[in-house]
Amino acid sequence: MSKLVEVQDLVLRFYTYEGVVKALEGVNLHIKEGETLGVVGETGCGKTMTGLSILDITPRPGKIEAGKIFFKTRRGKTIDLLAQKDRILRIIRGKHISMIFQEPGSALNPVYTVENQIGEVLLHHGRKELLERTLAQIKKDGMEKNIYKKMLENPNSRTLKVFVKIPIIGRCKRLKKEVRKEVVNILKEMEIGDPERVAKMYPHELSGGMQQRVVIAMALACNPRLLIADEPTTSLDVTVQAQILDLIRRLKKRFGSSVLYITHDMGVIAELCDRVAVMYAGSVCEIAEVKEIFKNPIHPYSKALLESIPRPGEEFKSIRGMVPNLVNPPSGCRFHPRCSFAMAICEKETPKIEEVKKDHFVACHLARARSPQN
Amino acid sequence: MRSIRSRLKEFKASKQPTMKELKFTISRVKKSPLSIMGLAILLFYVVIAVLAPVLAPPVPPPMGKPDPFMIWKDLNIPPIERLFPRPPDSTHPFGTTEESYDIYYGCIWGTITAFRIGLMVVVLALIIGLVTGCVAGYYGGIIDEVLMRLTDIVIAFPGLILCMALVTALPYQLTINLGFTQFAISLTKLDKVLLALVLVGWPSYTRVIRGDILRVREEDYVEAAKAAGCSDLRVIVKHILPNTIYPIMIMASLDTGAIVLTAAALSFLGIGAPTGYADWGQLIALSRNYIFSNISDPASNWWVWLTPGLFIFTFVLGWNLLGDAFRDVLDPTLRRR
Repeated sequence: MSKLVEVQDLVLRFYTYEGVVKALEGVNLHIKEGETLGVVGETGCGKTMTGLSILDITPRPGKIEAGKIFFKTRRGKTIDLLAQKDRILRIIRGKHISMIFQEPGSALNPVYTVENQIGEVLLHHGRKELLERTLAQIKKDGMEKNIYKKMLENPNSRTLKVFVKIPIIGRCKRLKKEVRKEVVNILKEMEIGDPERVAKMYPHELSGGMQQRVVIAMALACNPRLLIADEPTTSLDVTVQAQILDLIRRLKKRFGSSVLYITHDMGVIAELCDRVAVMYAGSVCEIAEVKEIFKNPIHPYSKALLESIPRPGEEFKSIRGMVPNLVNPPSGCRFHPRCSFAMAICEKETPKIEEVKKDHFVACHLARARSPQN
Repeated sequence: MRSIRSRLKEFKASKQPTMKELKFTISRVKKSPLSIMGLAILLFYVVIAVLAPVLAPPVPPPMGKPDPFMIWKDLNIPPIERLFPRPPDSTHPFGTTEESYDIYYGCIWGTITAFRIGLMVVVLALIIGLVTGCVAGYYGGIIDEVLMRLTDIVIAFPGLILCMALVTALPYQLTINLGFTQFAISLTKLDKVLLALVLVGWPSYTRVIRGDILRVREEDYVEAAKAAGCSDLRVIVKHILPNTIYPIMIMASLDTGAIVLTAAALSFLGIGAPTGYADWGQLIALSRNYIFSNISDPASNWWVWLTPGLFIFTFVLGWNLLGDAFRDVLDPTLRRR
């Protein structure tokens, strides 16, 4: 499997009044085609920011200072997303890489119906296809056919877009119908009962699970090659969570897209992912296959994280200390103040991420000292 | 080609969801009697404005002027009596002011002036406010800082005083030099008032819009729209503005009334509409000497100020009530509660 996305030495900083927040400090990871990569870590360790960086929509006052994000296009070319023009990025966002947000309630615009919101994405990225399909339906020659032909010649013409909106003269009814058909189809895929009715509803009329399905529908509307899921089940209750996970897994298989799954729930990771990247305080500390991580975690943070999963009958263990303030992160390895295996070197030198075993990358001085290569 | 009837039918069918929403809107309006009253008042004024040439047909010269907006003078009254206001009679249903201007004619044609001033000022200020507010709120940084300090400067002055200063300072011939081309706009006295009101009014819109955009900008759905590949313009127009426009609509509605009031005040102070122009403030200005002129009987000459005053009062009231109706009815986040 080839790499679909490769993030190299990504540095993201926020310039705030209190100082420079070093949110991401040299993040390295890659996602292979068709795989699900889970990203785990505590709150505020940069999971979401990594996801947003891939789309290059980090919120202000964040600035990507260094690093490269390589993306393999459908034609097989590899491009650096951070070096692209905004115009090209807008095509990539939504069509090639799309995102599911944490809060389904606030990720949907309250003033538009479900149909309008999904339809917007469809029309934005797949206008040409939709127009072609509509044109194929029209058999009679006449004004209608001519308008659609004109629109097809120049799908992004603003005058035509406005003209089509004028009632009675502009004839975009067929296009609208086509969009609705497509929306209903997508909603059906999301296992929404009565998709025709749901399509006409406003977001606040839907339950949380339904809203999340709509958000997923929006994200998958254009068959993206990478889906970034930012804790999509965190705000849902457990039964709905299971349904949504099931849905994501099945859709992934159907559309063949890769998934970057951001969560802090180890259970979800075990359920869904092929590989896991453990993040701590703005950098990746361990990447390995799911089974490997659960059986044989190497980084002390991953170990602690796995130990802190509550189990019945056992005393609950937590990681001592707090996530460091990223304005003044600890020197060297950022985990060393909380690490029970800390050595002298940990305070001075930041460990590099290295392959200790096959497909098992760790950023820890301890692991390097123990690994067979040295 | 299909017949127009079948097209209409199709159009009706395609607009069915819109109609459903409209019916819901109407049902909301029906539930609040005050908004009905506001609408009724404004509808009444719209009818007056539209039917002005019928209700008060322009009088040909020499009594009237070629411009229908100039109030006609009754020259049949003996010259000495013309100096004083006359109570209502059959030829002058609302009486006359000093110099025998017909109050009825002034009130009716003044409705058009009121609508023109109110709506034009609000629409222009709203456009300026929308553009500057969106840019300042969405992009932030230096542009935001510059625009906000600019609004600070304008807001720092008392509105009416600044308006007066601007009206007197603005030339009748405005030359605009764009470097490559220059053109001149000739302004009437009323245009100057209009322009001054716009220049004083836009900062409040800018601020409100900017504030709302700052709030909505951080919402998840804006980020989601960006993640779906929308351009800045699209994000602003399609995703941010529909969620922020309602407070501004309410403000605009309330402002329309307030601006008519300010324009009337300017006219009253003698720097608004020219003498004899059909404008409510102008009519009150003409009655300036007769408000409480007689201490023993303050209500003598009541007709000179009462009728135009009532016109202004109800007009402003109508817009204010409509502003409340807007809030209850239009805001999609409130309407379905």
